[in-house]
Amino acid sequence: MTTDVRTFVDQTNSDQGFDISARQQLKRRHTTGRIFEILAISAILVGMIFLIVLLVDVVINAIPWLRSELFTEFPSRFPERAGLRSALFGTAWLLFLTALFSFPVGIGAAIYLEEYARKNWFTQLIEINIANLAGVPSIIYGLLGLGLFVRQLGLGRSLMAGALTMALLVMPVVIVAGREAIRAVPSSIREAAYGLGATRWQVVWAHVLPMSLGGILTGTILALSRAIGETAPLITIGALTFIAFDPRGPFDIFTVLPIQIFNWISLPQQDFHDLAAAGIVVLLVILLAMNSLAIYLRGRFQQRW
Amino acid sequence: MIVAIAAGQQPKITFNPLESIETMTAYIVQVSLGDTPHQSLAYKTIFAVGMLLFVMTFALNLVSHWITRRYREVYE
Repeated sequence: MTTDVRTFVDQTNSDQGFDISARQQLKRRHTTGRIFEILAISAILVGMIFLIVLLVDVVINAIPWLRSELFTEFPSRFPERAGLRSALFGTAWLLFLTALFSFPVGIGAAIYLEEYARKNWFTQLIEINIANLAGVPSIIYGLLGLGLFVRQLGLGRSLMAGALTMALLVMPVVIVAGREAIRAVPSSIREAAYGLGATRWQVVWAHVLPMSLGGILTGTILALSRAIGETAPLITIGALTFIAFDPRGPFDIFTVLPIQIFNWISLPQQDFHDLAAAGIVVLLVILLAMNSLAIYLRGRFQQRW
Repeated sequence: MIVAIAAGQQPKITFNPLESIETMTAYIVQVSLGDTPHQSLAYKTIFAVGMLLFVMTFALNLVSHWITRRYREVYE
């Protein structure tokens, strides 16, 4: 580009006036380019700086409270005796049950849409629906859970009701991730299997699924890490309770990390706000660990064709 | 939701962005935080608010779906 302009300038060297205006124009364009570059960099910096300030602030408040009691004690009226034990157990239970419900159903839907469904108005309708469900505010899933699972099915404010609500919430994400992974399997592999006389079931079970497993797992873990940060739907189904025991089974009442943090923040004492900061650090570490696992799995299962 | 709570908990109509207001999400959370009796007016209201919220996001999603279809450039 630059050389083009330079030769152009050289050619018109005889015309002194034109030469100068061309150089000026070029200079102005370079300046505009620089200004735009600086604007773009500062746009990135604004986001980064706010994030770093936020994290540093949270970590500084949290450090004195990051001690073993935080993990072994139940919530308490006294900040020095309060811990996250029941919230950690609740989050673990919720994570396990949500994965149990959302994984098979989500993958089943993805396989149907990619391998079995014909392209017609019905699948088009399903696709619009899934895209829409992925964009619905999470509190609406909470209302659905309250009406359907807590009241109609009579599950009460149990882990089961919470996990079913969360499973619905992450289902669209799991389906979309599963479909992407399945679509990445080249059709030559399917055709080769069909050519050797494999049935559709054999093609899906022995070839498509194992090959797309990495992508499916990555997507599911990312969806689950969204689920453990969600508060609104669980508050709606009524999980904001003071829980001072370990949940014994899926039908017990429960609390989770973000709800315990929310609880502490709404208390007036400064000590509880710092405890909440410690809870936020714990939640962030869990989230980062899950996302790293997702990245590891993606690298592990990555195949090239 | 947590962000919505930062906007305040004062249901009023104002066009001044510096005054505190209440979002629909914050309202649902606020009602759910108390022990709302089954079939009470407040209990039914949160479902009405939720439905309105759903209709609004649904409309926005349809618009975005339409925009992506309209402006998608197909290569090859």
